[in-house]
Amino acid sequence: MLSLLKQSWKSKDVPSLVLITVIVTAAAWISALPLSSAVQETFLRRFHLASGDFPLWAIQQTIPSMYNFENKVWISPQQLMQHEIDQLDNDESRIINLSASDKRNVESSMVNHFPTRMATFAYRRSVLKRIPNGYFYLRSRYRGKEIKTTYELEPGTHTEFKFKRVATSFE
Amino acid sequence: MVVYRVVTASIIASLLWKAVYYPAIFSVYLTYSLSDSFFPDFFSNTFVLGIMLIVPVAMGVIALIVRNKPFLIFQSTTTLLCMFGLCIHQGSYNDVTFLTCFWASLWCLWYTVKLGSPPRELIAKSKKFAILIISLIFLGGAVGKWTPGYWSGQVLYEIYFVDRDFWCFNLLRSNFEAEALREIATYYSRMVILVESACALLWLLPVKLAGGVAMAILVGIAIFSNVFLFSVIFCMCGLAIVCLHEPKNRD
Repeated sequence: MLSLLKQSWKSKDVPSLVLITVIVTAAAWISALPLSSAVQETFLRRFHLASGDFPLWAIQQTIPSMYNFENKVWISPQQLMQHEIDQLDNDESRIINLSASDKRNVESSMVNHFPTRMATFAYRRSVLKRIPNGYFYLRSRYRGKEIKTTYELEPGTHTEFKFKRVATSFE
Repeated sequence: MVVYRVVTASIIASLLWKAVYYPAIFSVYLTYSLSDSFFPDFFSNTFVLGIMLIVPVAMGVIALIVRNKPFLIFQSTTTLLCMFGLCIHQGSYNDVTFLTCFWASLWCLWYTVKLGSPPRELIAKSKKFAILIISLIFLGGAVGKWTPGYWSGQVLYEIYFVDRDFWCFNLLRSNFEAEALREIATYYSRMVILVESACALLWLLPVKLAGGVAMAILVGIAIFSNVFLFSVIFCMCGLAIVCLHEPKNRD
């Protein structure tokens, strides 16, 4: 690595110097993750599509982060209280009937990365039709940091849905 | 040019690995539209998604034949931009295939710009950058797993061991009780963390050895966890082949 840098510097090889800078910057940013609370918050916001704005999120999308964090999603046809989500978190089954009387079935799953994919990606969008007024509760954890985000689904026409972030909080 | 063609072919393979599912995915996207104030309209548009998938494949196929430097720079730049676009499109941002292809495309752009440099210098630098990028990809995977949920095995237990229909998890489920399975998940998860963390340091090894190790680990990840991951690793395998390549005529 050092020899590559020296060689490129000596021969004024600009394309190589640019590529080294890009790689080292990305590696430094990733390496700061376990050390900095602010970096953890930035990474976790990225996974919940909750970065300050789209360009800030977009630039982070080039940072490798496959199978990162403990990401869990609860998809519910009705609004849930936090204690109900906590109760579901301790239940090992994936489809949980909170109350037999009102048939509030909640789907729960651990997700490898980007828990928002459970609404946005591919065939998962057919879920939207099943619960057009549903709620997505996302939680991602990294070491001591935890982010919780609630998304609300709103039906437009019978094939159009609005996926709205209602709240994001950190613990 | 051989190494450039190998990496370009590996990017095409990555993009096409799951192509059999594309018609169904596009059908869903065209049927159910999801409006989300986070994504600009352009990066929610299904036709834009299709174009960003088709163009790099079509131009990549031409690049396997053509030797014209300006065209190859244009092709690699276009591919890089399309991969970035796929990394930030509402319909594809979560698929890491496009992220590994983005980094492989960045290598391609660097290579095409450097075409015409002394061959010995070019191939030596090509190998070093290839292993640096592979190490970076492993670093990104490893550091995000340095968290109790992965060390305990709970995350991979729920993702893979509970009900994933894949040969090795089916085999384990049919031979072990739930408690033993949970314990195996812990060892599996810790092995993944340790291997990925070690692979983040591949750039410290002699480049040929590093390329061989990377190739074995990448293929192993897909074979023992999920064949869909071949879309993610093919382009990384292309870069690993660069590290293994020994040109017959060095001058």
